[in-house]
Amino acid sequence: MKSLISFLFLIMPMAALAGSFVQGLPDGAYHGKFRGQKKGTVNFIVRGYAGCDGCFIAYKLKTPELLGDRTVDLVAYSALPMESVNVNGRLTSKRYSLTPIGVDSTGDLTLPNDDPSLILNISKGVGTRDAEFTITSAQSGNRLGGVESMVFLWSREAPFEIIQPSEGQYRDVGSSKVAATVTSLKTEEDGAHSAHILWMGNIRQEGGDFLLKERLPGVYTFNAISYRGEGNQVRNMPAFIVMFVHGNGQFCFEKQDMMLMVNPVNHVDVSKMILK
Amino acid sequence: MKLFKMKSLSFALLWVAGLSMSVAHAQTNLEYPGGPHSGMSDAEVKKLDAWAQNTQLQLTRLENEVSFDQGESRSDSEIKKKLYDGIKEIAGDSGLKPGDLLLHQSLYAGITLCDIIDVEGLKKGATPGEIGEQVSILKQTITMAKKYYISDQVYVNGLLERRPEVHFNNQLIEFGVELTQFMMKQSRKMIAMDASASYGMIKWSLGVLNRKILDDDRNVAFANTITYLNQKLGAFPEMENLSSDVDAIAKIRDLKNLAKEIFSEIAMTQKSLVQH
Repeated sequence: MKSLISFLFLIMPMAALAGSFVQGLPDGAYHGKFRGQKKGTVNFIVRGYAGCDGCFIAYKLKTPELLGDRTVDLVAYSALPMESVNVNGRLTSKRYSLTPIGVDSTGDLTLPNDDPSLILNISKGVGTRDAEFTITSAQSGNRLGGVESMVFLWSREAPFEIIQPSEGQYRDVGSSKVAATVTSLKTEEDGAHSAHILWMGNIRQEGGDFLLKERLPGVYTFNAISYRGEGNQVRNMPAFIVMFVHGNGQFCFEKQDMMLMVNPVNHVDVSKMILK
Repeated sequence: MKLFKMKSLSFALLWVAGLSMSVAHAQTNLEYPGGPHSGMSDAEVKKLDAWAQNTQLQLTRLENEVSFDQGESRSDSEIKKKLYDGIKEIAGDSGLKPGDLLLHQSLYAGITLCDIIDVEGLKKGATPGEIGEQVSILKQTITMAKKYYISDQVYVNGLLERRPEVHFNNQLIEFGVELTQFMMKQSRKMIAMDASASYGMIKWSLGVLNRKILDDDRNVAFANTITYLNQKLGAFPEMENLSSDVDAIAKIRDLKNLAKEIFSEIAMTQKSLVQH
């Protein structure tokens, strides 16, 4: 009986996937430009996950030409399909709503605004890496992460891959000093990772012990642990979004494993730490 | 006019009878002349009062324990189990029906919402972060339970003092609105993890809101709202009959629009009741 239940648990997710929805944009990186701007490019990195058919997490990454050397502007979005259309016998969507991911007052990951900030429209090659698409303002009043129009015409190698966190010492770029130590890495029953981090802080933020938790696939929160007389507690601040990536040598992403800490308010204040 | 409203209310009661099949554990006794607990003996009311007071203390203890567990980097699975089992034990000990006290209803909501996520997670496989989301829901429903303990006390004291003017809890509608608003906010992230569970959670909370309006002593004034909400909710499919996650996402938008419409109607009716 026990093995039958285990078998059912094993095949149920597979059965659900059998008739699944195809992502209008397959996983990968897409390369584009801001409308009316000749200089600089923008990358759109797509990563799907199980749990919500057709949904994906997307990262909008402006290149250094737009920002100045060694500066990163990175916005994470929750992308939801807006329709269900049949293309060549497969169910998919040509339109997606993009809502920026942020952190709420309790230090938890959230979508601060119910309304999307951007709308993605696929004009050609839906469901393939040759997809051509535009991103325009959702005109919803949500301007978090920017609402500039963008045109994407080709895919390319992603400047980074999202990876699982690794235990070890991470150092600030351009310095040999240890900036953070990741220990006690654990995996939850739902596959989410958590870890303990000793962070040395930076000019703006105090260092100390922090708790790292995966709140959406590949997206983490970073909360301070407060040591008190009556016991230890997790504090709400600081409110960073953390990602673990492996760079592919493009832009400022060296071919190494690294931890990115993004300020979800301005998306430009990004700390980059490389695994030693 | 009053006769028309009474007819509308009777019609609404019939709808609710149908709806109660889909709203888990909804009460079956649809009319409370003199208040739902007016027939209770003093000893029974005192027992209710003692349970509420004791629960308030137990919840504070549970919150503190969980807060320290998080500081010790305990896994979300352990924390969820502690919260879920603790709340279930407290709520189960009472011998109350979910609608008897708002303190109890809040706890019951936390358990039901976690169950919805678990059921859907088993079908498709959990998305990383879902257990953390359940922890967040359980913690917030404890906060809600403690808040409504205050209005429950006024109500219970009214029963003890045999004051008919407080034989109905005066926060029923406020509770239903707050629960639905809470679910709408929580669904922003939940929708990206499990769209069908998110749908089920909002639909369930709207069912509770309708039940609370019906249980309110001013329900005749809200007859049109009750009927309208019943009709609209009845047209939404059960969570298990959704055709896809895209279908769930579209229907979540419709449920949110319906909720906003109902909030506005409730506010208008409450304003006109104050003026008269």
